[in-house]
Amino acid sequence: MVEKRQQAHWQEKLIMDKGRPGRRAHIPDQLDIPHASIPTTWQRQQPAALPEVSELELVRHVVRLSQMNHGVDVGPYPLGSCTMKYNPKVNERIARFDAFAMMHPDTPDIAQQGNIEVLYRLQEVLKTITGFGGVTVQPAAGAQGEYVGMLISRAYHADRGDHQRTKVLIPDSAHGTNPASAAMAGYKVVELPSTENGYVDLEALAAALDDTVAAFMITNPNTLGIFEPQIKEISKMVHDAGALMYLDGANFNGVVGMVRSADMDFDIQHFNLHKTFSGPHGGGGPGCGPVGVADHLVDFLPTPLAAYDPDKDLYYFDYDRPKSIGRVHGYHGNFGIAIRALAYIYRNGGIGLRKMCQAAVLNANYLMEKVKQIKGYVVPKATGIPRKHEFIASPVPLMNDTGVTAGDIAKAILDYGIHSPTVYFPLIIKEALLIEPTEAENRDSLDDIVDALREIAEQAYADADSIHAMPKLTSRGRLDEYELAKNPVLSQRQSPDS
Amino acid sequence: MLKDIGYSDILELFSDIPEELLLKDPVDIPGPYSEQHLTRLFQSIAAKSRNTSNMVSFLGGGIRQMYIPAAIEDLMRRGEFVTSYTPYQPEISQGLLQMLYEYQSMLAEILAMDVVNASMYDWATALGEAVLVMSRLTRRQKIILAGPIAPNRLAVARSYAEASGHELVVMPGTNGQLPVSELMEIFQQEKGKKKSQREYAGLYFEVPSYYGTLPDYPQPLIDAVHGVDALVTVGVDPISLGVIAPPGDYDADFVVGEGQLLGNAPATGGPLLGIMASKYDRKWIRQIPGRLIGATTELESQEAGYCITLQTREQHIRREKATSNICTNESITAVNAAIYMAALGKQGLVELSQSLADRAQYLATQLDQIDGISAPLYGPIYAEFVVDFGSITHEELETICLERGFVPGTKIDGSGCQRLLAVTDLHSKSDLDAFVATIREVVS
Repeated sequence: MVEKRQQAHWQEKLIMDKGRPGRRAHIPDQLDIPHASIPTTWQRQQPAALPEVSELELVRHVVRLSQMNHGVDVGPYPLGSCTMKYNPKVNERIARFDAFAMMHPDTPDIAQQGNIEVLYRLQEVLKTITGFGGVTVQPAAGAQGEYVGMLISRAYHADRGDHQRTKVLIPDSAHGTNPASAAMAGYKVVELPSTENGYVDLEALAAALDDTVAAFMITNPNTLGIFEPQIKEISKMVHDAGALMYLDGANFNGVVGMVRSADMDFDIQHFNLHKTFSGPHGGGGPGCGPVGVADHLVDFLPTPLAAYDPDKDLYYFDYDRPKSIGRVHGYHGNFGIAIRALAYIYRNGGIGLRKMCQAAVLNANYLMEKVKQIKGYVVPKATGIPRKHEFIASPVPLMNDTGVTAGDIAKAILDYGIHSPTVYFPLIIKEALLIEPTEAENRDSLDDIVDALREIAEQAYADADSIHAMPKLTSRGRLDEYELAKNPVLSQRQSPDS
Repeated sequence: MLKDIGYSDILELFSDIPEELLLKDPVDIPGPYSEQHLTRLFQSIAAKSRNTSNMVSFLGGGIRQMYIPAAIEDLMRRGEFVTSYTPYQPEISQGLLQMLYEYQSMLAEILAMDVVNASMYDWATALGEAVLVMSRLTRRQKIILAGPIAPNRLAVARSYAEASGHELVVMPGTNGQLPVSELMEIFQQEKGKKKSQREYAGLYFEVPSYYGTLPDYPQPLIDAVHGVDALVTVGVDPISLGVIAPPGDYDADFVVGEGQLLGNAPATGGPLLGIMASKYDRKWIRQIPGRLIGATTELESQEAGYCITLQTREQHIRREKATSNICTNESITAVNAAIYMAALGKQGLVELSQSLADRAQYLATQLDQIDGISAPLYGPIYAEFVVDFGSITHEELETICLERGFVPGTKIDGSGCQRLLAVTDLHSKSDLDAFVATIREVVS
């Protein structure tokens, strides 16, 4: 029997509904200087209806709400393709160093040498890890990295006068951001089917490749946690057709330190530093989505890049990059996540990164073998092939026998203090539960996940209705999402009937 | 564990990877380092930068180093929030969801807009996305960006708009003001055309502008834009809206801006907090990019609960037809902003907002009394303003100021030594006076 966990259940009113007129928390500093007048037409007539609460009321409010939230610091988070690993506290402390956290990015280079050095060092270690010729840290998230990759593809083909390349090929197992990013960059998206085993269908690829294809975007290991064994052949086919190979690095935790992207002949890759290199996910962000490119694409990277002049021993931002695609962020991207990632990489070193990857893969395969033995589950596709950092379990037999779906299991496991796996993704697998334990969970924790899934399955066979009533121990039960989507209430200001 | 699942060597789990691709040795990165070693390394790197607490900075232009109240700094470290993912399972993520809903609600009050999303990456990318939204809603391809706008925001707007065939028409105006008569003329010409032949999707401008100026009150201009079914997006500094009329008052359709100013550290430029807001319109809210948090109840009771809603706009469902590719956003900075807005409260925002106007006017007045200096070069101003420092070069000014512990704002492209200065609530009267004394000495 695995323990269930009661999450805090505060009946915490909205902060706007607390307090009393005149109550204050933070009182701004006032100087003894003349009062400036605002032009009459521009004066605000009504003060914004913000809360009037004391500091203690506010502190209790936020602490109580935090108690109604699950994070890696609270319990396991085996959310596939999201790499919810532990975020080491030392990285948090380093990121808070005054010179890093409080620096305005427009400070003269000479006064922020260390900050530029951090970006430069990160560019360099990501080059080492992948074998690429250049890296930008500017994209704020993985999806923005993809967009940058697509802009680089456009600039590269345009530079060669190859203007007819208007299509991007993407496998049907891809993350949704891939087609969305390609479309934003003005490309037409062509979806490629996967084979029975979840691999790229080489025949379909060959048929789709011609001189209108700009790039092939692929995730490797893919979203089934399976490594593409024919990746070199795929790269050759794509390159022979004059197109570029793009690697979605969301699943990099499955190969980092074991395989270099450049050796697989990729031209462009984005990284998700908040996944592979331990940036905390912050409730959905910030991320940091650097892009690495092979030598022939370095000129097109966004501006500026962090650079180093060995003669003067000075770090600087290099704006003199005439072929660059330009800017995608107001400044240098999410520096705060970049520095955490750099700290994580140094803390591990090359040796540690390799061990980290191996542990992540071991954990995923251990979990897969155990889940496979649970009545009602199958592990579809590529039987007998080890997975990398994640795998798919599909409770199709359980659903057929009891009516309990992957979605129900995702809700029920919350009562065990375990976040659900990613559900119904990738779209090509029925009742997909995409499970990624990461290297951070130990054997006890993995066994807890297995025991919880087994207990839920057993309960489904005994009394399926009781599963539909879960979760019961979370701060709220299932919510009325349908009515909300029909009549969205998006702020307290919005009148309900607007 | 390995033996438990039928393997004897960890490398067997990598047997599916072609031999030629598998690295035999670790990649060449030093380490592993102990926690102490790592800390010393980063302390030594940090020491190569100036300690910001010994520096009085007048840098602005979109983000500023503002005072962060102690309670907020403490609360923003809650691991339950910081180490959580996007709240796709709302039952176990109510805390974060309620905080984000409170962020949306409080910022909606400040902006006087009904809908605020749960964050974009930064102001610049929010502007880029706003351009795309205006185009989608009007099915027109040209967007005017008017008045002084930061070069970095313009560059990002181009990166977002031009790849997909949109045309940005940049009209900077003169003297820090909007080119109102040229704009009125464009929209009057549009008025004369058939609806199907109108070209302009919308207009974007900033209040205050990049030069810190307030334009003429834009109501007639906005009416003219609306008269041809085009849309208006306004860029704002949220702190200014304690004393300045909010965009909802003059009928803006969309608002973008920088939420870093609401209790977040400048962090060398990121993470920041892109503001994206709109009027409530059933059609529009389905075109907004990014996540939206909504208020609902439990299925089985009337107890309040919150969840992500209208996800069918988003990339994980709509794929290439999504309103944007954005997935990961800047949630934690939105949570910090929510705590900050609540801490300031109704009266605090007004006082803080006024105190920046006071500092800016005081500093500009003092600088203007120095021979050869003109401040503010353009007006009326709020918290930032352009100063003409006369014949000194940017390099000389920067070097001397840095030696004395000041960062004299940002260089403005153009002739002479013109720079954008910003005040913040970290500036004491003696900071301002000392800076003025330094400048007097430097230019004389």
